[in-house]
Amino acid sequence: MAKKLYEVFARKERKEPLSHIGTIRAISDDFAKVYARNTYDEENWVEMFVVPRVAMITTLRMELIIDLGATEE
Amino acid sequence: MSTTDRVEDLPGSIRQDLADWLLTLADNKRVLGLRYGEWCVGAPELEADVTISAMAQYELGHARLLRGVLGDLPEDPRDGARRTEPSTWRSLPALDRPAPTWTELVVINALVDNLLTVNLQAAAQGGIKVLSQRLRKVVSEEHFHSLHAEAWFERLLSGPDTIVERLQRATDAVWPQCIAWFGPDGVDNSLDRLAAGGVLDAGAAELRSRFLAKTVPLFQGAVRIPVEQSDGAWKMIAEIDWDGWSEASRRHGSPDFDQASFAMITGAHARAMGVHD
Repeated sequence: MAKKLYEVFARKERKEPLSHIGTIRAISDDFAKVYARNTYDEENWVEMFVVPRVAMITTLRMELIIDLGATEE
Repeated sequence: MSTTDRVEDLPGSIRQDLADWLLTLADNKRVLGLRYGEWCVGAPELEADVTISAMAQYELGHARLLRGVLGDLPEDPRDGARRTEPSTWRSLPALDRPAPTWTELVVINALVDNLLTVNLQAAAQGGIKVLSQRLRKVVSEEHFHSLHAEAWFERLLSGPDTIVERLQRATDAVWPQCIAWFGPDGVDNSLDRLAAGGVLDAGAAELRSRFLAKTVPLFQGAVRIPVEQSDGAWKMIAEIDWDGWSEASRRHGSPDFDQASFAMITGAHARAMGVHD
């Protein structure tokens, strides 16, 4: 079974914004949940999310802009 | 259900039952922590190494918390023999020796860990404020141990026949020990007394029913156990031989630890260095 990359986000207080706290490699969403919770357990998080890396849509990536700029020149 | 803020306010007979129940849970948690910890560099993948290591720390922390509640009780059943006499310990036979493979560890995670959580959840939902407050966080942490068991059981069931057969053999060994925890039907049972005294939100039969509801779906029909479904609930269809079963330790006989395990759980190595817990 192939592993997928998941990005892990969490917050310590409800009023705080979500922060990216790390990544996990797992074969399923269930494993990603368990591994993330137990790997990043150094804080008393009030919320934690795992997101498959492939589900994240790139809207901006700085090196792309620089590369494009270089191409245009 | 009666409610009270402090365990000291409970009647003496209930305090004795509570002390026995707490010590039995604390002992199981401590040895379970050791068994998880033994796999912190031997799990099938790096993420599982980290996770089982974290789970070990949680179990050891829970054992310490339960022993803290025991310290509030004059009926605390601990004595000095616990450091030298394995028979004074109350952990289940499944925890006597290290799990020989990851498969056996997953079965312990699925059955023993869930068994302990079903008990602690009943106290978290019970009427003793100091107990329910302390145990609510424990139960929320245990949710992820349960998810770990579900994920691994499903993964192993999709593995080769030899692994499924191994799951079956491990389940055959551990399952009866977990069912026996709840005690024989139709007799005076300390879990029922704890429920009547407001410590637990349910007695033995309901707790066993919750354990079955939690664990039977894990097997997905591929691992066979002696249960049948009746009116939407799982019921046991096998008889248990109650000869030698102890209500205080909720198991048959007493632990048969190997020497290294007993030294680890009692801190013998640390004491030999002059370090005392």
